[in-house]
Amino acid sequence: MAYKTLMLQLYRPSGRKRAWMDRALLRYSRALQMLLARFEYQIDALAESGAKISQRKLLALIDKKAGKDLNEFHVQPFKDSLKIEFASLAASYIEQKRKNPRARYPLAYLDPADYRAAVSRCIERFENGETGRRKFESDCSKVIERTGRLRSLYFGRYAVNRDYCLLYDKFKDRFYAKLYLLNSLDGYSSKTVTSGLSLRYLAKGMPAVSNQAGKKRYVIVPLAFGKRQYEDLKKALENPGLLHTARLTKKKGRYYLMVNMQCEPAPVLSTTSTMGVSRSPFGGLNYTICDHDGKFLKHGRIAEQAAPNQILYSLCNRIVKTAWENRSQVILEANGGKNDRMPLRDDRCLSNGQYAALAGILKYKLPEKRLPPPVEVSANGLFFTCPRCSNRTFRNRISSELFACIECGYASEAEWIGSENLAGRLIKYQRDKVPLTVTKQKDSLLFYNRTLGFECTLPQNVTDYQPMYDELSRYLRDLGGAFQNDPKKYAVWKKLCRSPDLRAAVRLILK
Amino acid sequence: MTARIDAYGDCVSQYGGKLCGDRIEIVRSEAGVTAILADGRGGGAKAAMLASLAVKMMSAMLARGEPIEEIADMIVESQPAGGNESVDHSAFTILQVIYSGTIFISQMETPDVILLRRGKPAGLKTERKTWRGRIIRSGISNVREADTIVAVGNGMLRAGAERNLKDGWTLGRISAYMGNAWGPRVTAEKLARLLLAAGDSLFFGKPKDDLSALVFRVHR
Repeated sequence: MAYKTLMLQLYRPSGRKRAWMDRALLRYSRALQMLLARFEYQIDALAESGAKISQRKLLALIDKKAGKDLNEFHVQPFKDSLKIEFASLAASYIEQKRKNPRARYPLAYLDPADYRAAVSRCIERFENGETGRRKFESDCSKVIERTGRLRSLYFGRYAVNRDYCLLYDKFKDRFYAKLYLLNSLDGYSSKTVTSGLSLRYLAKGMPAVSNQAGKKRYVIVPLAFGKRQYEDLKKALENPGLLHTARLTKKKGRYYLMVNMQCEPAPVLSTTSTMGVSRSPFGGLNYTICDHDGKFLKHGRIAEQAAPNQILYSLCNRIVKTAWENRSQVILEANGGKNDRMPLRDDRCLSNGQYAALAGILKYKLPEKRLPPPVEVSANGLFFTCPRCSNRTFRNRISSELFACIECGYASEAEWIGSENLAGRLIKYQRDKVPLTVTKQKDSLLFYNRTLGFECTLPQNVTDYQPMYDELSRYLRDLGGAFQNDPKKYAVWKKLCRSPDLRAAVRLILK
Repeated sequence: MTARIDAYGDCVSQYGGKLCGDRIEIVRSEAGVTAILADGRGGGAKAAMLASLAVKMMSAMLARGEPIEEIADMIVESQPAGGNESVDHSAFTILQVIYSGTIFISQMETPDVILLRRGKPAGLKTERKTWRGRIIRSGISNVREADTIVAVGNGMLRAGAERNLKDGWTLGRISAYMGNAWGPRVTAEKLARLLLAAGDSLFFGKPKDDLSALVFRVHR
């Protein structure tokens, strides 16, 4: 299931509401930091143990005493969300620590009072030789940057009577956010917060918002957003179940509600071509479009000028537009393009991390346009594999800008080789035949495929291998696809089952 | 040293062209292998005929045992006089490798011959002389085991013109490509075909000029 994040600005909240939000953010950040600091030892022990980690196990760390201590931070409205976020941070840290023992323990909030201690720790590590000069400078910069920075407040559920929800005024065609930020002590009494408005909850049945007795523990703030977000909110009006968790965050003095919204599946368009998108050595991206027979149609560059935090979205929008115009299946490099051996020419080149982030964005942007989600294929040797004959050797790269295959003579600028290979990969996978090795034994021939686990013996003097194909067909039927833990086996099984003629799908290799 | 010489050459005509202006001929004799690559300049039928004439002259004079310097001079004499590049004429490269291990080169208005020693580019010195207004470059060298000699026509160097290559498709690049493709068991035919395929590919499959490649491989 694909999700996207809607960024909705809280429009001109009053001074009182701003104060409440600031206070909630501060309390949340402090409480989260308290939990992280208190259970640092246990989390490190879990990381070292190598045991399987579950959210339940991590939530169980928060004992009764810790739960009581949380109340001192006045975080009752979002206590559950706090615990969920704590478990999520701990799980993420454990996974990172297991891959990289030098991973740093998460820091949710650095009180100005703790700033001195944090800097002292950095200095101590540097003096003990645990970190080099560059790392010391980087750590100090992070500490200075982090001091006083508030963590975004996580709302773990969409609900009309807790956490958060959205409201809609049909007559004014305006949206509002209802955020539970106050506990019972801080709650306020108010005649009505909805006077002059005919607000309804964005929930099943669209119930009206009514005045409730007692202190109010929430704030209602109008929302401001762009056309695209408006279209998404309209979809949520028809199907409120699309709205999920959210975060309240503050940036440059403004407040935003980042809502996670499920992307509605729509009937997928059938594609008539494949579009390989690779990083470009000159910055931005290169794409190549081929038809389903592998015939080259066109290629081009995608480069955008945008603010650093918007550049990936701009690039994605261009990719989606081009894919939609050409009805293309987008194919990307897996793992952010690691090991693709792209010839680097420019500081503007997208990093592996940026490319991986781009792939994540396309996973929901393409389905929005009714295109299939991107397919990620192995990037190993992408920029020195021949797109025509698949000969893979670094000797195909004559220089950083020139590619010439030493097997078939195909030559091109090196920058296009990546996207050309990607565009042709799916077709190549489909055309590749499943190998069956044939070895001579005493009086027989043994046919086998280790990945599939298939073996068959025929007499050596046999001229027609049909009995072997019949046996293979029976074997495939009996397997039945019940081996999801072995993706290679599953892939081979699926490929053979889909083929109308087993003989055409298999390649015999005499050993 | 008694060498075994593997030689191959071929041409690809310009896209849409009726006649290929480049010609290659390889002649084997008891003494060694001689080849000519003739490149008709000017693009017309006359240039193509002059290229054919050059090839025929070489074959005939070789049969009489003439040295290649004489052959080169005679070919130049059969051409329109030099100095006016708009006049159709035939550029040429003549390569002769003797079994005893000597190579003779004579060229007029064609790209320098490439020598690869075990796949690595090596220098080939040539001397220049002017004959009937045309500059002839000639040289003599010794060949060793696993040497490869590559000669190309002028069309090959234009192959990268429409590509976005800062350094272009130069003799240096061709030399590097041949060096990468070289292997102890790679034949002259394979190398020549690779070079022609690369040139054709750089022209997007529609060469704007005739492409020709001639490769000699020396084995013990």
